[in-house]
Amino acid sequence: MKAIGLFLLNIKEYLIFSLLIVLSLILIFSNDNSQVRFFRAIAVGFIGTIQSGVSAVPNVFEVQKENQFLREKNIELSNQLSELKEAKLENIRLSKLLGLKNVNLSGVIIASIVNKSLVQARNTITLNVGESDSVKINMPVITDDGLVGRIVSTSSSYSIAQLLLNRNLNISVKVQRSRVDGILNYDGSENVIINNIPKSADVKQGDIILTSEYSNYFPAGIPVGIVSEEGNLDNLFKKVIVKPLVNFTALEEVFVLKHLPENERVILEEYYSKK
Amino acid sequence: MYFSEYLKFAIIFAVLIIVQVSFIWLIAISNYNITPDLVIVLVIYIGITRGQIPGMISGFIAGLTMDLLNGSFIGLLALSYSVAGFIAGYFSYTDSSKSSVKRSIIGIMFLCTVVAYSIFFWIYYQGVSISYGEVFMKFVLTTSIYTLVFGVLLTLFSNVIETKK
Repeated sequence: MKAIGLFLLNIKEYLIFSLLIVLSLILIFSNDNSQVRFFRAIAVGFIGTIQSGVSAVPNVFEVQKENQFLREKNIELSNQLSELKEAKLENIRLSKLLGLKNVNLSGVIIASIVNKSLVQARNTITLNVGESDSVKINMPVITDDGLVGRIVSTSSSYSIAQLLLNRNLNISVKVQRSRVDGILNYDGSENVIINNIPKSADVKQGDIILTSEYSNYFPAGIPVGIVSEEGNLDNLFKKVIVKPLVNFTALEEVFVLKHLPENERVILEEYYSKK
Repeated sequence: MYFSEYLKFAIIFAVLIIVQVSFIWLIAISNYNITPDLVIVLVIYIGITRGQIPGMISGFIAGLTMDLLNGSFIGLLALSYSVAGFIAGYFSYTDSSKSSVKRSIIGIMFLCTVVAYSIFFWIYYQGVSISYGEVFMKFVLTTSIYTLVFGVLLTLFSNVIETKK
């Protein structure tokens, strides 16, 4: 017994090392469970408090420029708003005529970015809105330019959104002109690419890419990017490279869409995939 | 290690983690947003100066904290930093070997960082169309070299303090 004790004492470094490796692997493989979300929410709340304090310090050199830009944008948006009101009324009339279901879009939440984590391929942003502002996990994040990403973690006053430039985010998209579908994701280096596009599909440089109706998480029709390059990947598929419409390095304010996947659809799809 | 030492390292870790999470992107370089990793420098320092067990445990806790704050892939940095602490602790010096370890401290730091980030990016880039060779050149090597710059600064700083004593 004493010999075993001595032996274990001699290899204690290796035992602790093995224990830590096993613990890490358990954590890695149990990502996205409720316990981890709980700890993540506490951590997000803590760091968000510090970051909001830091972001409160104004950059005086930028304020004047930003003011000018916002005035111009305001005028532009006012014009767009009146056009959109007209379009909405027309849309309601046409939807009634065609008998289409309404998209579950009940509004937006305006949010400021209190931190950007543009580190390698784990690109995320921290927003100053959280559960108390009705923000929930999986809600889409957009700007007036297009899709920014998706909420992945929330605390009571802060939330974290994965950007389009995050390897963990896959989005079902379509080409606006030719309605060709595909899955868009970040390849981890410098490109956003669309996968699963057949070689014969009609995709051209300059085509606008939108979110598709097949997406569970994003409402259809949100602009995502423009096709910057297309070529053949192999004998079967095309390689389509997309330039995002949003300038992620200059992002300061975003909108969180109060849009969640339709439960009935999610349950049905999960049920069928398990069968 | 004494309680005061634990406290000292905990405070330094807290400061470095906040800097790493909130401000490090300000000094990101290249199109791939390569940033130095200040936290791993301290993990390696603890491993070399205090031994394998403090190195591993501090690496695990610091890595896990970073994972929670980054909000993605929990456990990955905990794993990488634990390995870095373990390797650094392997070169932990006694009074007789102190000078030889100190001479090769830069090499040890580089080795620990390369191994830790190889594991990190190998897991992180699973299922991506780019080859691991490309990932190694674009991310592992660049991050390790950039981190090493801060490792050298820490070594010089600790030498100056030691000389003053």
